[in-house]
Amino acid sequence: MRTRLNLLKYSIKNALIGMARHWTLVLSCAATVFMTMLLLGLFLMTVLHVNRFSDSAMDDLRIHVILEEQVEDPQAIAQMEADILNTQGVKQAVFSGKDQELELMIQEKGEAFAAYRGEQNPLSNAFFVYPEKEKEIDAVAKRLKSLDGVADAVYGGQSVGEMVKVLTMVKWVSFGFELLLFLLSLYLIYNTIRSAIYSRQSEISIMRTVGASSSFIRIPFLLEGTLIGLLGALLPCLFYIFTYPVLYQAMHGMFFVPLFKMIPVNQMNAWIGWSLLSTGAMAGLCASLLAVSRYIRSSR
Amino acid sequence: MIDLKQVSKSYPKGIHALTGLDLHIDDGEFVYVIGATGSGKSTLVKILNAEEIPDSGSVIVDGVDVGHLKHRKVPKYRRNIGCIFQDYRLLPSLTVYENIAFAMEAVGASKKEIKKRVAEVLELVDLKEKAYSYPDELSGGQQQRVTIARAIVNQPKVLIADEPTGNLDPEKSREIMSLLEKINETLKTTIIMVTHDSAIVDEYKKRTIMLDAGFMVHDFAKGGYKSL
Repeated sequence: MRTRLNLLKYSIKNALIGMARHWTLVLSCAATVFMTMLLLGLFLMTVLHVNRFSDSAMDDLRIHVILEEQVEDPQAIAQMEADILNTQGVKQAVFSGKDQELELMIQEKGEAFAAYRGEQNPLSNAFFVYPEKEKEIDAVAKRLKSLDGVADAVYGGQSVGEMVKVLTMVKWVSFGFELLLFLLSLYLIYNTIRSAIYSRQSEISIMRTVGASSSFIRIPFLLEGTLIGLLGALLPCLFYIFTYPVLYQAMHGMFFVPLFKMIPVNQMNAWIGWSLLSTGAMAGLCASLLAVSRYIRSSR
Repeated sequence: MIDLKQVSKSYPKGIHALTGLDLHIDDGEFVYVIGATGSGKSTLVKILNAEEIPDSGSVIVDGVDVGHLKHRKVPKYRRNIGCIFQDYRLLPSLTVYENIAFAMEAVGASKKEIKKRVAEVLELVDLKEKAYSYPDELSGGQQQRVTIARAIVNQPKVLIADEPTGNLDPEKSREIMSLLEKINETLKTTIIMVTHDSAIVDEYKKRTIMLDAGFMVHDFAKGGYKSL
């Protein structure tokens, strides 16, 4: 145990000495990793927001089921609600009385309709129905429309569907860029560690001669790669932690329209902080593992 | 201690480096291995150091079957074998103290143990006052003494010296020989020294083994180049 602790101490010392010895290379690598992590952070923020936007757009995806005029007494409405809830693919149904319907119409189309308040109200009672799966909304609407007592069943329809499609595409493109940027940082760190291994070939061969274990030879390089990755991720992490709250304030917490609410600052900072630091460390560790297993010959 | 039976080793392109070598070396012996270039000396060193695996035969060093040693067990085995090279192989960016300490760090010794043991070996190789010098500030003889200190710091049972006087003038060569004799006598370390230096072999007479084209052609207990 004590021996292992000593070995770990020496590994950390050797990693730091190694980094100090070729600090220009380490710095230039960390700087390029910084740039990739900065972009990665940007794409990550995009993905997180797109997810949130499409979720809230999906939340708005509900079917407006308008009942026939004669469905008026509470018993008939209760029966209607039961029928709707029994329809395949329905998650929830919220009643909207004819007065509520009129208020919604006034809200949407203007005060001109205010004249219909009271006895004059020509609208029927309705339900807002939420499907279990957003994708099946069309089929559910058709099923609801065929129920007795239902005059019509419509939903926000294609425009929301199209928007969700676009948002999903943006999400996948961002994912693609994130993967590319991760691979780029991997490559940059891999090259740095490879150079470090080359410049320390004689040291490695002496280590072998005196009986150093393979892990003793490899661990400093792994630590070095991980530290470079962390170093490169730290600054972008701080950058976003300080700039996101400013952006949030400036945009009043939404992306132009209330439907697109931005992610709260604390939540965003935690996500971006952990994601960038762990991605940096992972890229560093994976890259150095690759370099070490390829360039430190496993010869006797 | 060291027991080689019918050891053969060949390299690609049909080069037979060693052929049917039988050799027994007792604990605490000091043995020269001599022979022309290509006689198999280096292959013998590499086999003893577990760098190479023999094609056939058995190699037993201190009870360890070196030829069948598992890959992961090689580092531990090597801690029992000290190596000295003609070109010293010191790390230029480390001081004398650090170069020697490096060998102990690599096997997980504590700082306290390192401090104590490095001081002991510096005393033994008479380089106490050069502890904080860098290799390029030392003469060839002094550098070779640092290499010897590094090789013995982990108290190996066997010391393999590959042409340790090859780069030194006769006077410095004698210094190194005296040091190796001292280590052999005081620490009872078995020493196998590969050399071309006939003057040294004649002056410091030890058991001498001569290799030629992979065969052992002489094993002379009294030693000396001239008597071969």
